[in-house]
Amino acid sequence: MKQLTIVTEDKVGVLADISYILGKAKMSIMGVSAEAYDGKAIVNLVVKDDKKAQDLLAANGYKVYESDMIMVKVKDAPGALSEISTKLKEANISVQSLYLIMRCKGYSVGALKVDKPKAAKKLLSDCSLLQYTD
Amino acid sequence: MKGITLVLDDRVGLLAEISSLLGNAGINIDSVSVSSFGSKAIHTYLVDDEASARKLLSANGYNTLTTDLLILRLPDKPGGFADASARLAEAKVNINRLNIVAREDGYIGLAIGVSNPEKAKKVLAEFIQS
Repeated sequence: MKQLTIVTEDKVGVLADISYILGKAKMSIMGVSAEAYDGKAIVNLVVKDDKKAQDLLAANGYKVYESDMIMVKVKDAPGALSEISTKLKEANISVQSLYLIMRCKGYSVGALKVDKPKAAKKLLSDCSLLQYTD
Repeated sequence: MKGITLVLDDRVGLLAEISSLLGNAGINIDSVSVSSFGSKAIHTYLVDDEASARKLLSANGYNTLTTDLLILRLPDKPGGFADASARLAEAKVNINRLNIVAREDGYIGLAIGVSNPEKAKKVLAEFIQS
């Protein structure tokens, strides 16, 4: 599964523009997280057709970076995140980004990006939802 | 709604330390977002007991910042957020951060931080949950 990261100048309307571009092409946003930091806007996106989204956004002047990510499903309960993040810590795996994609029926699904995806996938195989592919 | 934001020097195990602190105290994390920029990591937590979480994190040496967030409930379909974000752009309101907090039954719950919450509440009135 791929994550698309857009780094752009932080100004009014960036998210409106990105969501308009994708919405117009009838592309559903599976995951999104946005953050403004130090004058920059950083938008992470997970979509079904990442190639198409990447082309569309690039055609509209956005710089898009692609990276591998793992979708993890955990119980929506105190300590659930601690359990998986402790496993990663013990294996010396660094979490580069994490955000919630879905929360329903007692479960949470997160998009996780790490420095060692293969090792993380093996470690978290019991809760990895969509497998990381090379 | 208030989010707890931490700006930290990035290192392996930060998420494990913070989530274990919260988990061991029985505090549920409703939504989390972690990003790293260079040597810094930015964590934002939405929890079921904000006051206790903040106290606990402070007592353990973490500097916490408060992020004011609006919770929106929108139809979960292509373009569902385009309308809301276009209204904010027209009103010259900037979105500083955005996270998914819920997704169920054809609706999506979004937590957004904005430059002008009062104005945002006005233009997004029918979508605001809290």
